[in-house]
Amino acid sequence: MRDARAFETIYDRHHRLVYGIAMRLLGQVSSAEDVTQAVFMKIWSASGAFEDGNFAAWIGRVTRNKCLDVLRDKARHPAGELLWDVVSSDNVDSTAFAHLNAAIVQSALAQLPREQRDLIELTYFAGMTQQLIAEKTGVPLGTVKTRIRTGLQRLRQILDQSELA
Amino acid sequence: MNAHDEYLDDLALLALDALPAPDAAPVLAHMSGCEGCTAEYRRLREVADVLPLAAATAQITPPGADLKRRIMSGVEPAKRSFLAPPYLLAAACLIAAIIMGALYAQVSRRAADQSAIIADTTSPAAQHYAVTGGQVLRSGEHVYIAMHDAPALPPGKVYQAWTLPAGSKKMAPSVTFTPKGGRILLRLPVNASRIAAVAVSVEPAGGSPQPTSKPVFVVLFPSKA
Repeated sequence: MRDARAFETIYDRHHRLVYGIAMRLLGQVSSAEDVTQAVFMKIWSASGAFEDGNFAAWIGRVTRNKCLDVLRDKARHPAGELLWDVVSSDNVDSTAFAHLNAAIVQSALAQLPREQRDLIELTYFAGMTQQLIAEKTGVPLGTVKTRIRTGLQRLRQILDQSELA
Repeated sequence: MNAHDEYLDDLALLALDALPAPDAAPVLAHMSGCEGCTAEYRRLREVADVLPLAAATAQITPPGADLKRRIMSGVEPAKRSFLAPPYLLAAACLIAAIIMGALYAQVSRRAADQSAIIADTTSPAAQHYAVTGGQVLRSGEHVYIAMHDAPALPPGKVYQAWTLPAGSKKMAPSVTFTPKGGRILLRLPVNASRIAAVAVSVEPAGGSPQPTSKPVFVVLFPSKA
């Protein structure tokens, strides 16, 4: 990615997604703008970072990980609340859902039972540990983990049907 | 409850990038020998891959033109108001390249490393050696120590890894580490093809130039015929 015109096209297509994710996770315009800038600078400077699959999903993952870095750096939460030292990656591992868009994924997530959807969102988008979620919600730790897994499995079924539709 | 059940919930957390590294070690070790769990992880990971798309909502006001200008100014050649001497421009470019290169390397190294760890530890070609409290994995050019039940350390002590260079008879000191809750996943800073053995011993904090205690374990790698 060293063509400024192509880069601008990518920005025009995806900046709402990147900024939207950053706003949702960080809740501050200035922080969201900084993350948006950092994400697009990564795209500009790392031409080989994206290999294959769903580009929007990849850029979304990069944004989410960058936001969690910001949250950790700011220590907005007391130590232990955020995920430290997690095994994480910006990679999108497959092309299974290469054509899904935001509306389909949002719709699929909305179809999950509330107790599963909330836990997935707290884990993935707020970066909260399972222990903290259990404490905050009063749901036993084992139940938290199982609901996240069953929610993710159900989401897979819904998205599989969306791909076939 | 079978052997897989205890890992199933953690597979989902691993797919969501939400499993702390010490907890991930036994899961990755299990996956490396279990096709069923590896397949389940991939199915869940494919869902997690598209999950970020759900975060952006139409209710959020998009950023203004200022942000785009700020970003584009970083990729387009600056409009120069004066002509700087070529040697100054060259020096400035060199300094900027060094700084940007260092910053980018710092950011990208972490993600790349963690991807490599998952690939290595789940590789069917990885060799596993059971040791006290865990296992040693040899995969490609890398050697990992994956502890899930490391014996507690006495106060002021750490674990220290040792490697035996191929053709040598003397152990070389490697990294020191302290498992959290008995768990750790550690990649040794050594090329697997150049060592004949790995050992771990308990040493004073800060490590030792030579082992001062009996090893907790020693793993001898089979020599290539």
